[in-house]
Amino acid sequence: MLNISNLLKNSKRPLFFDGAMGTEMQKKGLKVGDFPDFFSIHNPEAVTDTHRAYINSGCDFLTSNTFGVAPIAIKYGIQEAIKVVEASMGCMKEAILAENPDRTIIKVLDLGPTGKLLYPFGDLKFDDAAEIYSHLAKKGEELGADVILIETMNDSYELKAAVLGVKEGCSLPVFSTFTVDASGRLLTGGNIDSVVALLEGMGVLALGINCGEDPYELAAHVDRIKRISSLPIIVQPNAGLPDMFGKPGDEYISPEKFSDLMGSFLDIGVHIVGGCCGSTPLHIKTVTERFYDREFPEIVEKEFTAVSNYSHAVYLKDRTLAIGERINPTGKPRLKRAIMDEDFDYAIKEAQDQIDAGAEILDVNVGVLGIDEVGMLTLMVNKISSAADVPIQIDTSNTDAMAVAMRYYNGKPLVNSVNGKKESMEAVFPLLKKYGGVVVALTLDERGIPETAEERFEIAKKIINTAEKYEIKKNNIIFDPLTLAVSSDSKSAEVTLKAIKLIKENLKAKTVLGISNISFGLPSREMLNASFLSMAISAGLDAVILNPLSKLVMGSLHSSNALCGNDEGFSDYISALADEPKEAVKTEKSDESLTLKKAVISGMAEKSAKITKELLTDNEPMSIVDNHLIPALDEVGIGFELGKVYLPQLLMSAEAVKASFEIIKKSFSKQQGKTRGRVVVATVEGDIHDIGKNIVKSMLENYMFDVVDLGKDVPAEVVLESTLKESTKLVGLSALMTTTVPNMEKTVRLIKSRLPECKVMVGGAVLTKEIAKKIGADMYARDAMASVRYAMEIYG
Amino acid sequence: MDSVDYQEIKRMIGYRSNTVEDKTDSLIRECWQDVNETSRFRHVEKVFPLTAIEGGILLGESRFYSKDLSNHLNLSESVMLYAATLGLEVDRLISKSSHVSMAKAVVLQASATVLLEKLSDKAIDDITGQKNKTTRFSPGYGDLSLEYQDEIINILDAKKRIGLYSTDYHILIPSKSITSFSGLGGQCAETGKKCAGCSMTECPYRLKGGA
Repeated sequence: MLNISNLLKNSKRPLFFDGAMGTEMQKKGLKVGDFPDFFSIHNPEAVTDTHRAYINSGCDFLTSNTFGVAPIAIKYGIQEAIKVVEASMGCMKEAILAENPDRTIIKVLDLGPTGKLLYPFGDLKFDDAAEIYSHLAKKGEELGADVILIETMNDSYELKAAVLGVKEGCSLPVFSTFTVDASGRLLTGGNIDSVVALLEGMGVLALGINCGEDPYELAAHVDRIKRISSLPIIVQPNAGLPDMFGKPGDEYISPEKFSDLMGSFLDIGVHIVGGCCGSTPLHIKTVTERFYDREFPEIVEKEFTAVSNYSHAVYLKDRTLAIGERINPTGKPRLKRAIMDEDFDYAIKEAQDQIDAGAEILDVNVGVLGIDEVGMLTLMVNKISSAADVPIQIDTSNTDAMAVAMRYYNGKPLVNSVNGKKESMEAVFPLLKKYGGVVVALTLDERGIPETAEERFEIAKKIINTAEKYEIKKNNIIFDPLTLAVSSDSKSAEVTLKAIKLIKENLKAKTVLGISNISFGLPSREMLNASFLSMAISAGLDAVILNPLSKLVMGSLHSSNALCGNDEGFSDYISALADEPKEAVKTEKSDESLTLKKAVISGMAEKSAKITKELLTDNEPMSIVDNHLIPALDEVGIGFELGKVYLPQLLMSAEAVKASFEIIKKSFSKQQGKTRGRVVVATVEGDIHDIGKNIVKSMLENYMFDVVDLGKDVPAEVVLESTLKESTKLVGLSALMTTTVPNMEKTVRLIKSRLPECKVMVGGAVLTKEIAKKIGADMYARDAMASVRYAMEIYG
Repeated sequence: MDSVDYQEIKRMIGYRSNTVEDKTDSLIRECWQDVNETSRFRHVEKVFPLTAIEGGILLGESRFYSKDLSNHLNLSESVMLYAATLGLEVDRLISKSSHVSMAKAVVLQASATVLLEKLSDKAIDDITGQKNKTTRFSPGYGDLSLEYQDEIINILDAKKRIGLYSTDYHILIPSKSITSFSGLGGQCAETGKKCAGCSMTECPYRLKGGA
């Protein structure tokens, strides 16, 4: 078998891919809208002839006629797709046999996108996508492919599913190319840095760009890849997109111009070039002949460390960055309860507050005794990462939970943690290898935490050496040389700082610290933390796990970064700290005459919280609810029903009540807060719009109903199961499109068949009273207030 | 923001002719700005000669069966098939906001719809120039089935070109997206505005007199 990795390393000249397949098939009679892939079965000569023409054009990589097999698998089933793979690999081998060229031809199994958008925004499940790629790649390997190419990818999450699926299905090397628009982003939002971080983390062998709108706009994006990637780079632009009849349009790029374009990419330092839509054997021939003698550009290993989310990458280099520590239930009863109740809104609010305060990565830990950490961690990581636009640090000592969360994370996560114990490294490194990520490595091992910096440094060295055996690069490890309380050992700060320096200088590796331990058992902890942070930054610390809401500590971070010369023009410092005095003055002002009722009616959330806090000093929590919140809610609710108060006002008041409840709930910690009853709500299967359901949920919660929110796209069986489990008397269902009303009916009927006494209310843009009746629902809720009224009726 | 956009958003969040109080007013302005900054408007289109078939129309090799669509395009010479989206970022923005402020999520939702309509009108005007044309007619209007979304996406290669997808239930994603047919040339004219041609006469958002 070919060793592609060595072939790339040892190449003396650029390597060449072939060009378009679909365009050639259209010339040979392919109908518009049909999959070119089926030509391998129905018109194999056309496919074989095209491969032969490309072999004669001088290419090194021959791409199978299988770009559409993933959508074929979805539309016609995996068996049909596999037949296409078999036929296509057959055509390719026949072409190679017939031409028998005297150079190595690398057989590439080509896999394009599924044509579906993945959950949560679309309806294809991550594992279903991964499984398709896994089956296809497995078949490709069986049939003698040398490389799997995943190309024209539009969406980072699908890309992750595809690469993972291929890795699970076969052991072949993976090349991956994606499509960007003129701004250099995937159509689903990710920038180039985020995709490169993801792909490098997952261990592809080469990466780059293919297709895209205008090939003349690609240079800047290719240049960006060159600057951030440590891998061989592929560029396969189109030579003009086909029009819908497959006819070349005026905008087609001639072979000469196409080769000029390729020259410009090779000048940037691209290693592998080829063509996409519209390119022909002549295009490729012109390129191979012209650039055959070019030198293979050097592949430069980048030293920085990158983590990413769906939109961007965050780099550890040049300055110390903040990792927000607040989504961790240790010592936080409110968060603990939110986790147990699966109340993600609370955690998301915490996430956004930390980002606003300057966190660039968020730590997520759900370690609450007695919960299913494997399920909850993934759920929390996904909820946080879809609502908060920063990379996540997956924080758990449970490696099963770590594995699942890493798998479903949309990006390259930071993972907390591994340590020098053999058992820990054996559990964590394979996960890093499989899913990609950067790991925090604690400098402790079987003997515990060493007392000296030198010993901690030795453990770091051991961890790097072990990681190498798993092919994990040093820049995917960040060392935490550990912070111990200075109150119990006055030398502990010094040891930690020295360890940072040793690791930085001798291993050229990255470091991170959680700083708050340092002040344990001492007064004015924030002050001590801030000073220690300042010293650690001066020692070269790359990242710090902290509470971003602590102004003192964040101030220390920004000041120290600036003072160490890592904040050019003090721009971060100024933007973070310049507004400080103004805000302080603003919060001082308050309107003495404002009552809680008025604040709620006017939708003033912060004021409502503040007044509630004041009221709690000499009022029972329940009396605040009964005497202030309920009357306010009633006034707004009735106003809404009369058409005098509008939806945004109703919802702003709801938010004010919620803010007030947050304060009151704290005094409920022992005595149980009373609820009026439990309501299960869901958007029916197939429907991915959930704004209406979310409005109903927030109003029901305001009226102190306990709402179990099953989310969107929920199958009838799941609604029934949950209704049985929660023993609720009322279910609320939402559907927004005519196409999903049948699923609503199915859900209503299923519930009624098992629980005839359970009431079902329905709502959504396409529903009417008549439709509601027809599908067997008890109640048509025309708006959120109508559902509240009905729920109150049911629960008396 | 201009007053037309403002009025449209106001109408969509249920205000009709009533005055907007300060808090909602600033929310509308904030959301309009957020949506403008976040969206990545993209569109793709293709003009076909119009061929009438029994119960519908033929565009290229695709058949669309709908009496209402045929009537809408009746006097036109050709048809522009159009697809546009504000991108997944807007879905993310709305989803993110719904965890923190439903009021904002609702106003963002309305703002995004208004922005998409506005940009689409402009894009189509820019492409067609002075040519007379009908209003946009989309799957889901009248008897034109939503199932045609998939076909339109395929014809326009909209997944690759603009990142527009449909679900198994023919719902467009990103959610702020449009596909439509506009009749061009011949005797066709803008048949009233927006709502006039729609059979959903009970719709709460229907403009007065349909215009």
